[in-house]
Amino acid sequence: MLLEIKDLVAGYGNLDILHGVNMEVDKNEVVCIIGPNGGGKSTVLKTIYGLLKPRAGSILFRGDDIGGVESHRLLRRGISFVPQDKNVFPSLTVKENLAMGAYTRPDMEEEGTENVLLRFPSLKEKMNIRAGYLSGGERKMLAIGMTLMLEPDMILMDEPSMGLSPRFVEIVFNKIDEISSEGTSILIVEQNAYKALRTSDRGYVLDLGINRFQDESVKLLNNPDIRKLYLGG
Amino acid sequence: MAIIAQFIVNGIIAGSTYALVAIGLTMIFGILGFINFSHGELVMLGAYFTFAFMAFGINLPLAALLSIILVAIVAVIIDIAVYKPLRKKEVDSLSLLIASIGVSIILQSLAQLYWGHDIKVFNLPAATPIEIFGANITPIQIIMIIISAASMVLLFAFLNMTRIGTALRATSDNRDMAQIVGIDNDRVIMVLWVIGAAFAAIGGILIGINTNLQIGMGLMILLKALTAIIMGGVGNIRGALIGGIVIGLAENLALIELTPQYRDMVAFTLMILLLLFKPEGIFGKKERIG
Ligand SMILES: Nc1ncnc2c1ncn2[C@@H]1O[C@H](COP(=O)(O)OP(=O)(O)OP(=O)(O)O)[C@@H](O)[C@H]1O
Ligand SMILES: [Mg+2]
Repeated sequence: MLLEIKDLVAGYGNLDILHGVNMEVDKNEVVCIIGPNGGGKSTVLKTIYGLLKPRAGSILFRGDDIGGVESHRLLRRGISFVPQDKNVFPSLTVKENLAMGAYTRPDMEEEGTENVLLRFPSLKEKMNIRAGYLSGGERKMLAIGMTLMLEPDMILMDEPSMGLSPRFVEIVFNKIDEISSEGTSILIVEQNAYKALRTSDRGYVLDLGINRFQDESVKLLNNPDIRKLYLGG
Repeated sequence: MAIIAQFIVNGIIAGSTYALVAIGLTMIFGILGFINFSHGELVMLGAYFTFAFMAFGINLPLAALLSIILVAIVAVIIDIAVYKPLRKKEVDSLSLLIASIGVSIILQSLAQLYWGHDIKVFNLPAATPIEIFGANITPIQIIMIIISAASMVLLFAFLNMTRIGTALRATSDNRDMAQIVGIDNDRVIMVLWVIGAAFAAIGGILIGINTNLQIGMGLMILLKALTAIIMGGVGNIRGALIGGIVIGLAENLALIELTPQYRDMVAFTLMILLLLFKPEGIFGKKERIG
């Protein structure tokens, strides 16, 4: 297993949000987490990425416990994170944003930028434009591009489709497919549950800080209970 | 005509010191999220340390350099002793502001204990002014303008052309994202204080050269710098620079009609008008809306 989460408890202040979450992501897998608003989906990703300390349970990455390990160390181990929103530096140019994606490994900046531009050619002519002036779709490409700079083994993505037009949602999910097919594992959190389940291999339904269901994505899609409770019938 | 030229020269000189102070203030706000009320005391210390080194017989350029370094060290120590523990506790920006008022008063008191409260002047040889377009300007004032301009050019080069400089701007933009891409926050904050303090110290030294030294000199310059950053859009470095110069020019050009005791009123009237009519500053937004 690449990533194994066992009985994870985490939260904010003196409030627990996750009450014993269990999840796994294998090499080359795309796994999605769906569930109602406030269910703790983002909290799971933030805890994996070291932005919150686990209060109990463990997070193993390639067998090592990474619970509470700081983000910059996780980057070096091959994990990157695209947060739900505010995921670029608006007053920096696209080029500078990409450079910041490789901040911990300046030696990878040049090659990384080339690779990102191959994947997102539309960013090429925007390189000297401030990220704050990009459209929502372009911004999302940039945010994903930044995490690709270090060629991670695992990407955590929080709601990649949020705020995008249907055309861009399609593009983003195609890119996710593409990235995973080249050997990167992806754990994605999504509101757009249909889309996420169609793109992923397996899925978890997180509700009130517990994973209620877990299965292959196709099976979740066809499960009448899931459809009724989480996919709106 | 000659008198207007003179006011413009005086305005540029005053304005560049405001700009130097405002740049540090706005950068600290951008990254740490609070107005450093003790920024004026870094200005004061810059001037007084220089004075103290000169009293040992060290020449002005070297004394100034030593003073700048010392003020930067003081600022970093204050951050480690006061603001860093507060950041760890995740206190709000109001608490940080109040802490910085405390720091301001402590620094003033210590300075007064050591140097006394009488007005001091740098012991400089009298200079013969040069006439340009009818305005009198001394060689040392020309050097002051050059030093201010050079500091700012260097800063912009640093921010735009180095990795740590870009990281500083990135942190100012979006602190959470900076952590996510692995930018070392402690390092950025240290660089921030070194720049902010060095600029404040240069400002203080220039004021010392141009006028005199007083223990309470920090407050008025802080308030002028505050006006400059409001004018420039809080957090906007270029805005702070332009804001500082504009205020220096405005308050000196106002002397065409007003007597000097009303000079400070000009800057603050400007500040209130800005807050009323253009609270986001004159130099637009960095992010498109929608
Ligand atoms: N920084 C925070 N401080 C305190 N509580 C928080 C914080 N962030 C989230 N929460 C709370 O934690 C709970 C779970 O939030 P989380 O963001 O993980 O949900 P989510 O499943 O990602 O929801 P959404 O679909 O709306 O993004 C919510 O009740 C939320 O109010
Ligand atoms: Mg969320």
